[in-house]
Amino acid sequence: MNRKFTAYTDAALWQAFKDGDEEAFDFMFEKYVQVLYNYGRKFTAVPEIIEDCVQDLFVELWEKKKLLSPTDSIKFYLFKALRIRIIRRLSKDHTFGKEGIDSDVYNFAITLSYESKLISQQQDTHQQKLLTQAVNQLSKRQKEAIHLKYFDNLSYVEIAGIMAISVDSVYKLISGALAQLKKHMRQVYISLLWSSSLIYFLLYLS
Amino acid sequence: MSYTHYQAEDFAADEFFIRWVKTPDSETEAFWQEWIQTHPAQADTIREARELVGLLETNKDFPTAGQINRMRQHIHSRTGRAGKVISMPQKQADQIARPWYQSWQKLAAVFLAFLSCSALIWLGINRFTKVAYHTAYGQIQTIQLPDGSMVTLNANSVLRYSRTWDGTRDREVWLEGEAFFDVKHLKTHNRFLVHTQDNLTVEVLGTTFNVFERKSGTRVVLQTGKVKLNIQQGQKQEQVLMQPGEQVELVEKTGRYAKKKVNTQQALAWKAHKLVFDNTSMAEIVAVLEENYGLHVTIASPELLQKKLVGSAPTHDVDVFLSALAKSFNLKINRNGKEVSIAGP
Repeated sequence: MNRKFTAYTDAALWQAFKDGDEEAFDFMFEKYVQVLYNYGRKFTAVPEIIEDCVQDLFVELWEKKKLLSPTDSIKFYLFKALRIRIIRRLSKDHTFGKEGIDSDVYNFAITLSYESKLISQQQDTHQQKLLTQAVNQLSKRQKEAIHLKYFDNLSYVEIAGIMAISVDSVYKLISGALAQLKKHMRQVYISLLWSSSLIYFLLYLS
Repeated sequence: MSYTHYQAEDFAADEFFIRWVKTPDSETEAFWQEWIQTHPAQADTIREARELVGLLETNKDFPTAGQINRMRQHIHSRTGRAGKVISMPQKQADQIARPWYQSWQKLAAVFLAFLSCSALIWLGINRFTKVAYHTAYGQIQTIQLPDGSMVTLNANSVLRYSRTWDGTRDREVWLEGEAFFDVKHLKTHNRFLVHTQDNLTVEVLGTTFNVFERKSGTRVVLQTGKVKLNIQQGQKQEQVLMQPGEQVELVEKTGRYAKKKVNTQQALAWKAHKLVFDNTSMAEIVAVLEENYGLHVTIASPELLQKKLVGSAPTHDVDVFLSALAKSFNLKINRNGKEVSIAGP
């Protein structure tokens, strides 16, 4: 990556790109390609679709650079533009897709994981199943809001803009999802409590 | 903002709380630690909220280096710049090319580890957790460790150690801030290790020494005995042996260091709630006010920062300290809450 641009604000970088600076354009691509692709892949399991959408997005940006309005959050701009592109593409690919353009043609699939410094060999598929169940019970919009908030660290206002809903709706999606996950987290603890007391009981017997 | 009636999910959805859990900095750390201390009944809620935020680490589907290259080349050729393909640094490409399932398995294992650990905490079996002591701004605390070693923890500092000190392994503690250690030598010759957030670990058998690791710098002062410093310099580790009366100071984050003789009485005066100035610059005193008392200091003229002071002042009460400072060195000091302004005579 070109170090020259790391100190630029988003507004300045965007302006440089709009003025036709190829290095600024390349820098934007290198900086955001990973998170954009990562976000896109949650909509579909087909990598080629997302590759196409990401490269089409950047090609169009370059071609229309003079016409674009200024922005002070490039990440927000790119996420929003990519999302529109992916949903449009998926509804085009969807052969029976007369009824719902935005609603049924796409999914949003995430799995949750926890990165902790403590590493143990212990594996328990039951607990994993409980968590997968909990996540599967969330709506795709809840999952998308969760991903944008906690993986991509976007603000509530930005998420509302990307998903084309109100800020209040984003709050509701996320707090609803959290309340559900909290309930399941407690179930996981209880199940662990059972399995660990069983182990202690067996140890006691032996 | 009032957090009094928040549930775990409300905290976990709060942007300032998320910032604290995911990328803690001095602002969020100071705020939330104080909040927890003033709302002890909410400790469980906070813990649960932290776990929720931790849980919300969604899976990574990053493109491989090959995919990125393909996209980059498409973009370049379609924007009429095919000749100028920029290749990616190899190291970065390697990282991205790591197969997806490897990290997935690791994350799954780590996730299960987290679940079992939180369950144990929840059950009150704190075998895997660390004991933590936090001192507030302006507070000094003396702690006895399970092996009999004594630690004096200076203001705005955190000391952590594992509950499982059974005398068979190294004794390890983690320090943020400043502390004085009086380490007991064990018959089993177990090492005593002080880890800092910086690239520094202090290794000792039995001895007395001071560790300081804050924004303004990182240094170790040895009073008695012998210690070995392990300093991480990029990939390699450098070991430095210290003699009593010496101070080793790290030069920024580079891993380089400077060793010199110091007056240990001065370096350790904070334990007696005193600050001794021995050609101490105003800049150093400002750092103490900000780091130990959480104050925000503005100085009337930059030359004042270079002023060297000789003498001492009591530190048990910040106002007494400030007025002693003002009187002894003929300064005008005004304090308004957390804001302090210092002007010359």
